[in-house]
Amino acid sequence: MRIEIKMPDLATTDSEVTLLHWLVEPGQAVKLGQPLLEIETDKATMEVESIAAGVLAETHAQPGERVAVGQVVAVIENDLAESTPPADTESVTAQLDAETLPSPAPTPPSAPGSAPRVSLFLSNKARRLQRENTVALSPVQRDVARRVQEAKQSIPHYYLHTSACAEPMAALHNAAQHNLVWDAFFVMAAARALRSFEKMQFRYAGDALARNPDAIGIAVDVDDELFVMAIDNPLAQTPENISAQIIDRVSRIKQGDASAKRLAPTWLTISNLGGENIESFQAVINPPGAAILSVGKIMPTVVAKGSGQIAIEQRVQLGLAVDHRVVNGRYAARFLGQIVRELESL
Amino acid sequence: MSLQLDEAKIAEYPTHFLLDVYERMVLIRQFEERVKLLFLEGSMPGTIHQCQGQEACAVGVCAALQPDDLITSTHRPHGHALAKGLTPDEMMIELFGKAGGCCKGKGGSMHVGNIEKGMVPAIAIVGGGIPLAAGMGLAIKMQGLSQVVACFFGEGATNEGAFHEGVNLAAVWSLPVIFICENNLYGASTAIHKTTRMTRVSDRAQGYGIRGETVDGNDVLAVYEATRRAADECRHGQGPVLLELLTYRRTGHSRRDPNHYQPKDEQAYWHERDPITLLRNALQDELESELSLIEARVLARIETAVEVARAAPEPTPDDLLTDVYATPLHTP
Repeated sequence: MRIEIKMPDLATTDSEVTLLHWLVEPGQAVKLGQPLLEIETDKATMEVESIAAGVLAETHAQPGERVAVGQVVAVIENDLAESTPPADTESVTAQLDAETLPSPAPTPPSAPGSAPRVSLFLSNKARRLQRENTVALSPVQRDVARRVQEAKQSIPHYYLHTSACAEPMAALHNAAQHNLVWDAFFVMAAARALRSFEKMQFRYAGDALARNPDAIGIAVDVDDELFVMAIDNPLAQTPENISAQIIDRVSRIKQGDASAKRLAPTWLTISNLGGENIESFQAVINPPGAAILSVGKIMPTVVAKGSGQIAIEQRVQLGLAVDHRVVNGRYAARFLGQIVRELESL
Repeated sequence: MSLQLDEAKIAEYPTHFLLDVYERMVLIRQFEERVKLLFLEGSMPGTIHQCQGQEACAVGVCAALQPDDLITSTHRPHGHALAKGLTPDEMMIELFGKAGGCCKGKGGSMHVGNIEKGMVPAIAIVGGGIPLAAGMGLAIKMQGLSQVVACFFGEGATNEGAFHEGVNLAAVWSLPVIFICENNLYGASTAIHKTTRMTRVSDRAQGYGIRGETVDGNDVLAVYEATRRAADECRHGQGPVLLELLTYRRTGHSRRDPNHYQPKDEQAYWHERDPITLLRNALQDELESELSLIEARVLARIETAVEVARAAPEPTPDDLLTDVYATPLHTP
């Protein structure tokens, strides 16, 4: 007889799981309880055991595919005469093989008015159409989507704009022996500015403010997935070792190192689109931080000097989005001003 | 702990008792294995906390109790319920959420029970059964009855405030409660040494001025004897007692947990000490045909329960208003 194997409901908060590997090839014999496929849920990777003994006749999903709970992923053909006895004879459990297990009773029709538990049963055509017209978000991007929506909906943002002279930064960048990541300068300037604007390190916690860890986050887009990497204890760092941390982290993310993808709480996030020719923009706050600094393109800019002269210098536009529950506009404005001074005296 | 049971001790027991105990453990194992398949097949709603590997705790304790003694249970209650005498049918129907279940389909896996058989519906909140057991013990004492309460919980519950409050009051009032800690070494995925320095749970008894004892929870006869002693003390006003049963869970915390946190060598050690294998090894030279018969009978029994449960009627919308209030409310 043909037994359909459906994807069991093993995810904690999801209605889909990712198929990682088949552990049995079509045509091979399968024992009851033998691991049949490996899956990744929102929480863990795990093996799925076969609910029947027989031969794996068909598979209906490929490794890497997102599979809805309840969807048929395989068919096992069960010929009682051909089924193999279990190897594990010491376990009473293993004796539940095809020879002793009565054929599964047919499922009786549901009583009138009873709703099926899983509402994901679609026809093959509907499922194909759904697949063609939707693009599943990666687990990382699903998390990003949830976090930015929550942040934008629940945090009262306000936005400040200014610009800074980038000449000292550019000089350091040009003089460096190794390739420095521009973000490193902004991390250092923000960390130094925090020394006189301690309240920026806090987050809103009901009727109180709570201190965030001493770390600054850098938003990095790797292959269309957004990560925020934390630079711990930034005051103790140099542009060189901040750059090295960022480069190392990006390469580990590209290699699929799960630990490199881990999110850590920071008091400030820096988002830099200067490399994409964006002059200025405003970003969405990354909780639990109370602010996010957005950095535009460093570009030659005409500046009016006090003496009535005009000059051209390298400048960069900065935006600061701030959680109004943590600090008022004047405080944040002074903090941003301090960042500018720190950048100009690097 | 030994890799085989004490044969001299086994010889002291009547054969029918040993076979009964064996059958009850196999019943629990096969029930759990069948439920696992039903879950994978998509027939079983919700998640499920299973007790494969811990059968000797439930069976050893309940074998030492009288039918009118009471037990409280946890989020992992199937073994306790079957050991206390609930039938596979009333259990399986309950797990399917159908009307004829032991709680009319309103409890589900984590709340099975049958008060007529001495099992209050299980309480899934960790440690939640402990104050309740103390209260039941107080009721027994105030009424001058001779029952005892066996209160099951895991080692994770011993760090809950409810454990302290319940055990302390039971101690102060000398209540007839056996606090039974099934120490399976992990609270969900967290190893016991990460949550307490007191990794020998029975040592905590000293802090309450009561007797504590650690027992091999995979030796069903050791569990039985320790529970007998504790029940006798409770019936003579010398309770409560804290029993720690050392055991191991062969599955994840729930069906969604692949238990990768259990080290392979630790799993291998405990699998060798599987409670059913230990008893089978001790009995099979003399009783092989009886053991095989029991195994086949249990399999058939479980299949019947599955068929009964699949065919059982669903609850009706009217059932929503029953068992909710002491006096059902009827809207005009």
